Amino acid sequence: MCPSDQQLQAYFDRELSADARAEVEAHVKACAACQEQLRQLQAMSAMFAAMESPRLSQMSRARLHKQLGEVMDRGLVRLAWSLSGIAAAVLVGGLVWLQTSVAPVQAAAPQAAPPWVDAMVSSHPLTRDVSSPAAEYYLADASLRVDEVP
Amino acid sequence: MADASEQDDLDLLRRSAHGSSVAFHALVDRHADRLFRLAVSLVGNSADAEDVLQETLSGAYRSAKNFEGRSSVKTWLTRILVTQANVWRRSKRQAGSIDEHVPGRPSDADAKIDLHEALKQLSQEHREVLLLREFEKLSYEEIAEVLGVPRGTVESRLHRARNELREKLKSYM
Repeated sequence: MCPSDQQLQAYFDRELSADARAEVEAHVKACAACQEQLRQLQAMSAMFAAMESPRLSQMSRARLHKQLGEVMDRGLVRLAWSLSGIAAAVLVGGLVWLQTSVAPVQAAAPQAAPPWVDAMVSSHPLTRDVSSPAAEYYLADASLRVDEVP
Repeated sequence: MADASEQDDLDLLRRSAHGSSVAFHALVDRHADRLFRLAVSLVGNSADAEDVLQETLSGAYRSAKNFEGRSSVKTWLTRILVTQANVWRRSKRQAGSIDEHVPGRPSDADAKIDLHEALKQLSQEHREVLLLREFEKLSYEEIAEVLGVPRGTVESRLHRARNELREKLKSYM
């Protein structure tokens, strides 16, 4: 039995496995109809092979390289712009971060002390009654102190 | 396994993806003639073929980073070219200025002129598959990758295309 047309085409195009190829080959040797089909495939291929192949002229090739060079340069310029954009964004982001994180620290300085500090200060022996003699002694300049506590 | 030529292509493409213009120009030199010949076959004239080739190679450069190596560089470039030729055809058709393509220039014999005419009458699908097989000598697997169709579709499409062409050229068979 003859192989299918597609099998015969695959045989002609050398697309069959070794086993399948050997099988078709054995058949073709003894089959005039398949030999004729192969001959026609060969004739068609020969017509393609005989067609002139257009070639890229030197001038066209040079033009192509020049145009591609411009494409590559544009790619580099885009990359440079992207990188500078990223750098600018990082810089602006850093500045904004500095503004928002450092400013509250500076602003906090003049704020009133929390209530627990007031409580501590007012309950401390030195600050509880600064007008007492002991308080006056300890708060006085060290050079003015005498040896005995009054 | 990739042969030496394919490996060279792959090296050049990877270097191109990392920004080497020298590598990309070298890759272009390796494939420009073959791609140009196919472009002329698909679009019909050298001027438009040059545009298609330039779009193809620009696109290849831009997407070099995305090449995953699932096919050879040659097949990948051919696929981009076929896609660009189809984009060209669509734009020409929309502009109403399409001139059916000329696969190569017939030289002197009637047979060559008639092959040229017969190919013009084939559908785009049949013409593509025949040109990829007969001009580019691509394997069925490679044609399947280029056209994005299963291998079985390539076989049946090629078979129908050859039958149609044989019918048109039967006086030469």
